[in-house]
Amino acid sequence: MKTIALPEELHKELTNLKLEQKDRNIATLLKKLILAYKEQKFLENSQKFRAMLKKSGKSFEEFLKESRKIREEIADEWFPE
Amino acid sequence: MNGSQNNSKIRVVIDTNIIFMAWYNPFGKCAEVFRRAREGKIELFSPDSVKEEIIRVFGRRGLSQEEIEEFLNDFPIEWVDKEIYTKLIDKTKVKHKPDKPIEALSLILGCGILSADKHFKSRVDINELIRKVEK
Repeated sequence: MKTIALPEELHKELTNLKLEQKDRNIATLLKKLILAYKEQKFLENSQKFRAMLKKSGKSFEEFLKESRKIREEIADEWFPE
Repeated sequence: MNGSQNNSKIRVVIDTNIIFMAWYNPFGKCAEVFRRAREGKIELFSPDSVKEEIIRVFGRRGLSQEEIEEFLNDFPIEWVDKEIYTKLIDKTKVKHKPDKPIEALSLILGCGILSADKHFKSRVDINELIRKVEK
């Protein structure tokens, strides 16, 4: 276990949120907040990925084919016969 | 199913196509697997060759190192160094050389492979995997 110092206002907000969420403790609440943050980042990156694909004018299948070619290139470099 | 279980967590080796599919369809089954992994219900492993593949694919599309790292941080994947799986490359059954690191790693870990490529013999069924962690 580790202890972190928080400003009083933030501590109060976390405690209120913990009660609202009926979480057993702040650690459980923080875990949920971290998961929500990661999900948000993932959705943002997903949007970036789709925008990148659209910009390239290639279909997802073509994108995967390109990726496979790169995989072959890596195999030849890393595992030569 | 072939995913091995360790302390109630299911282990699988994950392929590049599943990672790209998750970004392409963030509400599909592949993305669901990563959500379960973030919750600690599934342990994901992949060879460093898969990481290198993603780095090169994104790098050739002009993404900076920092942007690529941000993408890679989306998923809780343990990247395994080639020094570890290379020794089992010769024991793999898959014919296509570029796929051998994935199979070699699955042999080392004794678990299944989550891939869209159907030629892997120890391929994990994604529906079954999701069902199993929902229990």
